Formats: sequence, structure tokens, C-alpha cells
Amino acid sequence: MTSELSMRYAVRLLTRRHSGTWRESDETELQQWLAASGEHREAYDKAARAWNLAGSLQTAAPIAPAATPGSSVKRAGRSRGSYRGCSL
Amino acid sequence: MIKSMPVSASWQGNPHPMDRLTRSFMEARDDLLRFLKRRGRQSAAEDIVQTVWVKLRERDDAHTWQEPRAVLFTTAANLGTDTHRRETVAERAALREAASAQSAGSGPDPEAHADAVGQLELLAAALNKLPEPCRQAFLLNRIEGLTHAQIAARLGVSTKTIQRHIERALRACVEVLE
Repeated sequence: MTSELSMRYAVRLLTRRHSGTWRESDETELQQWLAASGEHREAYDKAARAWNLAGSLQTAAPIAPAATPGSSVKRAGRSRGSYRGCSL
Repeated sequence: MIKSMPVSASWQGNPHPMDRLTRSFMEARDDLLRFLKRRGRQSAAEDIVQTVWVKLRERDDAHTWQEPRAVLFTTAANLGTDTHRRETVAERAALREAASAQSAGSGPDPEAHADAVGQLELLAAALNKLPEPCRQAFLLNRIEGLTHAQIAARLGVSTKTIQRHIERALRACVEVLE
């Protein structure tokens, strides 16, 4: 059983790890946190499992069209793609 | 902006100016390899580094990068899976098997495949219930491999908001899988 606090921190760290600004010192901090408790590792594993699985999702339509200055973005219905019947 | 930049063969006196992607890539290559190996992708590190290059070359938006290193590392991280420990040889074999069963459509274990598809459906449903900016931020990061800064610029909000959106979306994914 993972506590709410551990889960929240695991999600925060994993999200930051993929932010584009993750540094060597952040990785050290993560490894220290993981080594500190089995519950921490369990929480991080849960978050990583969800993250890894979400990597199999695919969108057939653009997720968010890049904004063009001076033009409003037209949306033809729901611009959501699908993956093997999983509508996104 | 870009149009006003003097672009010619003799730009700044250099007959062959190395483009930004190539320069950033070559500078960060060794660090990228170390980064990927530390994340438990020992054998795949070289392949992933190569894929990073190809993927970014296709994307062709190096001129918009504020932090080239950050883009390279995020792309590399998104190509690999997230794991906090190094995989043993046996674990790698098991993972490969699981991954191929999942992607083959009819793997050796149809039940496991159905389960994986079922979980993906749960994830998709959970994400579709989220507010649009939250869903978009998550998918742009996880699927398109954009950095938080790039998504912030695209959606016109702060990187702090992007972090919050993605945390919320990931949280929803974790909860639906429990």
C-alpha cells in the first residue's frame, strides 16, 4: 500500500524527469529518495507503469495545433485520434 | 525573425556552418549515452541515441529550441521506458517478450494481450475525461516528446502549469490502473 504523500511525490518526480530540465543532481535526489524506502519504490513503480503504458497510446489527429498568430484555430468536430479502438 | 537572418554559404565566414541540431547532438552525445545507460537501457542506449537524431531531424524545429540539451534528453527519455533500476539480462528478455506479445496483436498469450488492450482503453477513457489543456499537455509530452517549455509556449501558459497538468493526468492514469 502506497501512501498518498509517496504517490504524489513519485508522480511529481517522474513528471519532472521528463520535463526537459532534469539534471544530474535531480537524478541523484531521485535515487536517494528511492533508496530510502520500499514504499517509495512501489509508488514510483506504479507511476512508471502508467507512464510506460501511456506511451503506447497514439493520436491520429493533431493533439494541439501550433497557434498561428492572427488566426483562430479551427476545429472540425473533435480533433481526437484513436488507438486500436481507444478513442483519444 | 528567421527570414531576417543572413543565410548564405558564407554565413559568418564559415563555409559549412554546422546546423544547430548537429552541433547540439555532437556536444551532448556522450552524456546522452551515459544518461540512457544509467536509466537501465544498457544495450539499447546506442540505438536510442541514433533514433533521437533521426526523430529530431524529421521534426526540423531546432531553431525554436531554447535549451537544445533539454530537448535531446527529453526525446531520449521518451524513447526509452521509465525505470528506476537497471535491468538484468533475464529481465530484459522477459520485457522484450512482453513487449512483443503486446505489439504483435496475437502474441503467445492472448489473455495477456487482451488485458493490455483493456488497460489501454481504461487509460484513454481516463485521459478523455480530463480538461482539454490537461489532456493536451500530457499527450504532447508523452507522445510527441515535447519539453514542458515547448508545451508552455504552444498553449500560452507557464511551465509550472504544464507540470501541474501532466501530474494530474499521470495521476488519473495511475488511479485507473489500480
